[in-house]
Amino acid sequence: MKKIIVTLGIIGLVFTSCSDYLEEENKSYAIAEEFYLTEIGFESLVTANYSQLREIYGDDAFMFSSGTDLYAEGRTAEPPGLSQYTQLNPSSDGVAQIYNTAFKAIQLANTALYYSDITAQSDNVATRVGEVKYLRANAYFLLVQTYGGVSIITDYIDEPQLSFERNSAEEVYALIIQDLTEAVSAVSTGDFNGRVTQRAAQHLLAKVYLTRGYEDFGSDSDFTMAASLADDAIAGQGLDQSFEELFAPENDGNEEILFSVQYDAGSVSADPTELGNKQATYFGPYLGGSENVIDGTVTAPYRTYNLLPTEFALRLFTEDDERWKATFMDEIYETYYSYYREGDLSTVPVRDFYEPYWFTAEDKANYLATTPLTTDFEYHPFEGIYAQVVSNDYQTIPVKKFDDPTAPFGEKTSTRDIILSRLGETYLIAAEAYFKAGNTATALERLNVVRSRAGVEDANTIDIDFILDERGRELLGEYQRWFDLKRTGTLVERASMYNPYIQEANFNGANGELKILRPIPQRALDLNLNKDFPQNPAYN
Amino acid sequence: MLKDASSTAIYGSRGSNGVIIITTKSGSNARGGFNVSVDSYAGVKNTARLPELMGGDKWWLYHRSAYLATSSDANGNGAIDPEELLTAYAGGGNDLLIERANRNDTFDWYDAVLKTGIQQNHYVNVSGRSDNGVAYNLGVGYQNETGNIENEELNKYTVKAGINHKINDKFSYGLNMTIANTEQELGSPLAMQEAFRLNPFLSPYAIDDQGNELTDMLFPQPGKLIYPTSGEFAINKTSSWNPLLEIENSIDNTRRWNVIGSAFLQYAPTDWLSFKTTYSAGLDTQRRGISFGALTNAGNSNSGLPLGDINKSENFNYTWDNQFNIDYTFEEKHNFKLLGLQSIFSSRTESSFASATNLPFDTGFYNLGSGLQGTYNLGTNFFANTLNSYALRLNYSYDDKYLLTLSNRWDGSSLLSEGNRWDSFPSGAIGWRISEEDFMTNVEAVSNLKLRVSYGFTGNNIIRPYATKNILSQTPAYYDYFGSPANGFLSNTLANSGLTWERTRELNVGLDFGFLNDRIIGSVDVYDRLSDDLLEELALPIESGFSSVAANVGSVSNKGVEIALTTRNVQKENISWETSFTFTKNVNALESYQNQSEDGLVFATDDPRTWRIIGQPLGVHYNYKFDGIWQADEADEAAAYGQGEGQARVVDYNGDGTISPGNGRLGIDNDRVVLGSSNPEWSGSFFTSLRVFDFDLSASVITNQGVLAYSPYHQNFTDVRDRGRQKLDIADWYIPANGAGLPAQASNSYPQPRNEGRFWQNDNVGYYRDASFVKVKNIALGYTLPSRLNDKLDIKKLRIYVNVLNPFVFSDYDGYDPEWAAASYSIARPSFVTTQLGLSLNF
Repeated sequence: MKKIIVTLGIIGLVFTSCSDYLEEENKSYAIAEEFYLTEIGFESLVTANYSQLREIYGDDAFMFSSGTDLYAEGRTAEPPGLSQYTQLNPSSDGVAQIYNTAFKAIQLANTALYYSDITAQSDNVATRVGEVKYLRANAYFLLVQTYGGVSIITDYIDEPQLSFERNSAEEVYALIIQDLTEAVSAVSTGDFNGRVTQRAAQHLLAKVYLTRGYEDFGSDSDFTMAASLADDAIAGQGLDQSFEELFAPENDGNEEILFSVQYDAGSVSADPTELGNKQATYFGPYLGGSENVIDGTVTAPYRTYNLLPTEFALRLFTEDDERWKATFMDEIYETYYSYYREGDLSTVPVRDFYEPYWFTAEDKANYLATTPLTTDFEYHPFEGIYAQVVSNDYQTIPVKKFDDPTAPFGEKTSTRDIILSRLGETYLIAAEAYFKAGNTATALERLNVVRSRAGVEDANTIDIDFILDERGRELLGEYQRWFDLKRTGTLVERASMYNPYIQEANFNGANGELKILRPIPQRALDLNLNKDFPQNPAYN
Repeated sequence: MLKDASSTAIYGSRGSNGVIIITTKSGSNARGGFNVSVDSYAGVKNTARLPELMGGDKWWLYHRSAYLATSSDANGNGAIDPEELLTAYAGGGNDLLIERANRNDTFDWYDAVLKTGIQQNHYVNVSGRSDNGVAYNLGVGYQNETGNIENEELNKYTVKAGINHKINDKFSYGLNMTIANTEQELGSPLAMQEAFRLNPFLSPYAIDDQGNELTDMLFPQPGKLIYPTSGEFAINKTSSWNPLLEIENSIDNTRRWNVIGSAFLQYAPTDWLSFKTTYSAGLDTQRRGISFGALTNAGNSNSGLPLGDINKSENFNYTWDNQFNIDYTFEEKHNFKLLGLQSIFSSRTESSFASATNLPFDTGFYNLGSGLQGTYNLGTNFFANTLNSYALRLNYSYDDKYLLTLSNRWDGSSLLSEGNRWDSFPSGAIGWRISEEDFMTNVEAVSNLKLRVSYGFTGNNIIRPYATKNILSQTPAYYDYFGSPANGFLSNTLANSGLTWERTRELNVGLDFGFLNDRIIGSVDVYDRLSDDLLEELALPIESGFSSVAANVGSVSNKGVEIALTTRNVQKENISWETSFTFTKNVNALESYQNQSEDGLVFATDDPRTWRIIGQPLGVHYNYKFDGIWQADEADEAAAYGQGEGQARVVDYNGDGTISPGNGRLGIDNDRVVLGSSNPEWSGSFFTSLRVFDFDLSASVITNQGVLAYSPYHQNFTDVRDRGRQKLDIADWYIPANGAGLPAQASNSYPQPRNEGRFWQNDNVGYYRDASFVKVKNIALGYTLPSRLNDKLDIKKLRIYVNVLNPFVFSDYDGYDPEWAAASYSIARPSFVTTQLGLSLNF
């Protein structure tokens, strides 16, 4: 009996009802309200903002490039709505990509701006605020070009908000310009080191003014502003390296890059399918599957066999244009990557050659006579190397600008940076802005800087079509084309004229409207408690 | 089984979905003496009711027809010629594929991958009670099962021990413990999926230069078959990896230790008052290791080297209950029972994860450190939650005729927001045993009649931990500035600072009856439940930048009836026959959501195929309604809808000439409609057992009726967007009139391949299936040794039996198993029939 009472006594002592028994024990998660108030926490929040660029640009390229004059599908279909317009509707594959990623980036920017006021203050905070405003403006700029007016959200959301209103495109542009103007004066004036710099902000702001200039609510002064900002961003720097060097795999982040999405093999997830970005997998034919990995070495990359350059795109280049060989892998040596791996290529046999349109029979004979060839060498005549219905691997000409010979085999493994702004394009923005502002002479001057680096003769006349052609040559594969055609109002005309799968009637939408703006994704409408959020008029 | 609010009250939130009380053998109910029981069975599992897939000829027609829509009119004559079609489907080197198709030389992938599984289960139990008040119970069990695919295996070892000691009239204590060790090998996650999707002309074998199969040599990518010498393609289609190699070289192994123990001490100072304290604890540790060898798709695409990962987790939870019981009767007819309970519950989980790729050795997941440094990936985690509860319950009965129960409990949960952690849940019940009334004593036909009415509240706090805090994701947002890595950290979900208890109000009226000396017994229950502040992940608008928040989203009502009826049809000494039926019907309807209660208002959720519609059940399917295929003579009408011949058509409900996604309300301007629900309209079960002398025969049947499922199986096997995979043996699909040499084929069931139209492709309107079924769950035949022989053999009981599980299913659903029609395709498995032979022996 005594033993029992002692035992009960011990139990009674152990049992003491603690008032904090229900406090949630959290050992493994940092709390936003604590971490972001520290200097290191705020820096990490800003980095998280930058990382959203990888979300926006690192995945599919279809919203940036499909359905234009320069690219069309080969053996693998592109999302049919985006690539051919007939099936474009609010639930089409791929139409939500920018909507999803940009709004996430915007909320994260708003979070950083909210914490910038209450975090530990340091010299960096004002600079970081500028950087974040650039990133928010960039996200809104993508949205407004793609979908038209969208919801303007500048507050940090800290409790569930279920209803959102649609703002006009004009209001969105006003916010973008305000953000970027603040960014220009807040961010670093130094060289590009991965973060937003003043020249990067000027470049983007120039592009925004240029784009607004074409809109109903834009004005001619937008073009003048664009021209002057582009000149500021150029800052007197010339295009001093060759086009080939500009895109060499080891030359990421060279002096001409104003802003790019940063990738590095040391800063990616360890998930073998999520190591990098997809830019390198487009713009060329299927080059084989995982059989390309021989003893652990990747001999040729994965290519999707869509977003192939169209015949029109290939015919933009002239024989003397250095950008032809620098843009395309027109000769594939023993293996695709031999080009980067063999020191002296003169004796390495070629397995595939893609004939340019200017080749004569004599050129062909000459080529075959003077080039060492593999036994299974294939000569691809020009008629077969552009976007069309294809069935053979290696049939169409691959773009090599984005090659990453160090990447593991896979669809999303390239750790090359994705270039968003570079000096060559700044010159072309300046050219377009001066042209639209009526200053043809300066426009030609800017344009010819780009041409002379490529080794082609100066242009003497200029119009929008010529500028777009030049942009095609200079920026092939870079994520610009759909926006270029949309901005200049040439989407319907050029896509239906030069893309083999698009006729003008494909653009006919509901209510007699053309499908130029993409539809607001149906899922966004379904999730919004505001049931009166309007869809774009060409869709229902 | 306890379901109404009053009877589940003392179980609190952990009993919010009903309580099933499982009385396990513990020391306390051991019989006197020394008892041994042996339960043992062995069985075979054979796959059954496999979906019928296309034969060679049919698939070959399908395959070619799938290129019609996308072939190039190379000669520009405005039509696809046979040569142009040939270029499209045979380009890239497919001479052997065509040759096999012409010979109809197919390969049976079902046969290559599936096999007979074996199972066995043995359990030995000894128990006894000694004269000094000590009772014990010890058990040892072993279970082994192999799957229907090579390498799938389960081994389970169980040890149970229980001891009870009644020290004297006032004190007793007891201890129970179960230790189970499970090792489960799941094999390849891909093999079955890939095997059944490979087209029938692909085989797992390599070929010689003449295209003859080398049946002793597996080829890694059967769809990229090459001639060994020339290296040219014999077949050039899919890159899918050989499933037989996947099976041989994949490991997915889980080893688990599960320990559950409890101890109690009881003190009864008088015969009407007792105190009891019970401490129960559970420990669950798991290790899951996954690895892929070099000769798998994962290994091959990973520099041709093995890779692996390992996950470990440990959960420890305990419950400590302290209670007093008063059981007092005075004047013989008034019985009072009062129970007071104080209880705490705590659960904590720690886990860790590591993975690496480019492993130089075939060491599975046991040598991850040998992999390439840059591929190391690791993580650790901790979760904890606690619950604190008090409860009081009073039972009063008068003369066993009138029963009253009143209870209240107070619960506090760490998962909910500060200020909302505590809530109280009162309930009450009355019972009237009509059959005990004087006026019933002469009604001999009625042996039992009891009316029950209960009303009360229950709570639910089940939501992920830390939902009330803005926690930062553990996975960094990776970035770098010119090669110097910098990791960002962000929240992926929004905190909810107002998270509170989900509270269900329930009214239950029930009648228990027994007639003719309990030859007919049963019960009827009618209930009306309303759950408020439903706890759920709420999907947020895309504009908010967050995907979801844990929230109290709305209220849902459940009203229904449950009927159970058992009849003892024959009750003779040597023959007895009993049958039972149950019938349940539940009407589930969303009453409000996000503070809106307008009937027909539609809300999307974080799962694109799950909707919340006011007035509709939670399992509602909402989409456009598939309405056949646009035929050639309807091309003009189709064009008006922006569609074309051969594409899937949906119903234009208001006939306004456009298909409208609507503005979030069911109604006339919305062509998305309620198609049905995944909740059955009613369910039922039937059980019968017949005993004739020493033989017994029993069978059980269950049914769900009025179930509409979105079928991932059909999304895989009837997807006409896909050209190269095997297909379900569908009757027809649309092939337009053509000049390519293919027979035109009208269809109103499946659109033209690669021209399926936006509703088929984007909205998946074609994959809803009726998944109602009647399933015979088991049929068992047993023989019990007559008791006169028991004495001779010195045993107490011996029964041997044959049991067949899932022998028959009646359903229109033609995927794997209608009961799992909505399961994701990678999880779903073919049905199988198990035949067991077993014995149970007591001595």
